[in-house]
Amino acid sequence: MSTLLDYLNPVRALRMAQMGTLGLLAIYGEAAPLGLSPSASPSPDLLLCIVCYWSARRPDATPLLAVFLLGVARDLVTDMPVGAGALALVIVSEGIKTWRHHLARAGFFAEWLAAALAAFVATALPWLLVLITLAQPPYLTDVGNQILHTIAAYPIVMLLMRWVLRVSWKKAKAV
Amino acid sequence: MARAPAKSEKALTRIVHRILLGLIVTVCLVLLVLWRVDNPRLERVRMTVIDALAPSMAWVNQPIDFAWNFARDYRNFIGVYEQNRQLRREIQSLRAWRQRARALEEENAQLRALNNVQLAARTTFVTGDILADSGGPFLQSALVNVGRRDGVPDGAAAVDGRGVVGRVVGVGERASRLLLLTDFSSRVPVVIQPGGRRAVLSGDGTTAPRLEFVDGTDRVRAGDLIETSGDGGVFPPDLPVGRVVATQGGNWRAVLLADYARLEFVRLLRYNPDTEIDASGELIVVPEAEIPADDPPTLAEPAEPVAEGGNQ
Repeated sequence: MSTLLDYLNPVRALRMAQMGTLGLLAIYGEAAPLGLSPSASPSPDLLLCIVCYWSARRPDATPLLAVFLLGVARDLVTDMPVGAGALALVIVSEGIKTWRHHLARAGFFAEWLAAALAAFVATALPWLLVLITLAQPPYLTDVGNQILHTIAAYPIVMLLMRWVLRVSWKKAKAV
Repeated sequence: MARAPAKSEKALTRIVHRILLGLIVTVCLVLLVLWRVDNPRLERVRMTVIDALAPSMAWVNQPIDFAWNFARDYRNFIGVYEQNRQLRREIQSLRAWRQRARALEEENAQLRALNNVQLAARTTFVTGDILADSGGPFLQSALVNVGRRDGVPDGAAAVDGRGVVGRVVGVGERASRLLLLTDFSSRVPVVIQPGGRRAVLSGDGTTAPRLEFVDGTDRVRAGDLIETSGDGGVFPPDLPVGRVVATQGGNWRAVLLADYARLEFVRLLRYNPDTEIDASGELIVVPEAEIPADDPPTLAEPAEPVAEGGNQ
């Protein structure tokens, strides 16, 4: 009962709305037309960066269903294999939530390493699922490029969240 | 006293969470299977979501576009001296081509008049702004801000000022989804000029798609022009696509004419192919029951044979 009431908590609802809006902006950012040539640099997985950051610091604002819906929306808008990207995002979010206490103690580099691992899982899992379903998966160099871009983007997302939106570990502990 | 109910509630929450996680994983896998079999309902859902997001997407993309164009212009400014030299060289070359093109145009007009060639069916178009791209490595596609309400048909060819870009694979009310020629699943019937050799242009995720099933490679030369053949009735014929290049393995590829790096607008063609007769004319025989009984054909004098095909 208390869990149900917790969902109706206006502060939590506001945080979830904030997280959803940021997720949508990340999808738009990923889909921005910055060169359609196959040789163009792939966009970093901004949604993954945001979900990782919020799952660690505000797990109550990243419920399973919200992460799934954002994942499906991203799959549909950016033409990823529908369901595969969402599945990877849900797995990564749950993994980060499980390890968030360790990440809070370990510091920046451990968190960045975790984000790198998450980026690998979030890109490799759809690639593997596409291969299993006998569709043509993208080249490994392109996949590797996207993982590197995502890893490079994570500290920038961290800075924006920390210094612009003031979402930090300290506030998470107060919840 | 209150500790036991709190503990049981926590356990219940955990069980509900696990069930939800299992459900979501199952739904994801079902969605993946539907995507793999190209389920039309999934495409409709995709276009509905895109229709809902398209207006806000354009609004958000404007500052990103501005920053991107600014960075690109700055890079161009840095390389302006080298560009100037290159442009002068190109102008020299293009002057020679202009003379050649005029001569060919005159020759073409004379030949058309001689043959009384009937031109292809009237093709109209609608121009759209590129709204988004796939961004990732999985699919080479783009979203355009024109859809069904603008008269975009499913399967319409998309061209820029130079050549074919791709084709429409999903149409919403306000937006359409383009599959680019470079995508793994793109296949376009083409003809290689001069010589008229037919082939299929197959995207493979690179900037130069493969030319497959080339109808005799003996007369194909590097630099030959690739145009749409019009086979299948999806693309209008004679749209420029690219130039032939030879690879080290002896295979042919196409360097596309469309400028994907600077693609901002595309034209979506509304093409109405001519009616084609795809079956031979059949003998029209009056059913036996309808033949008047008072004038039956005799075996000794068979009835006049009906001309086959009806086109003599």
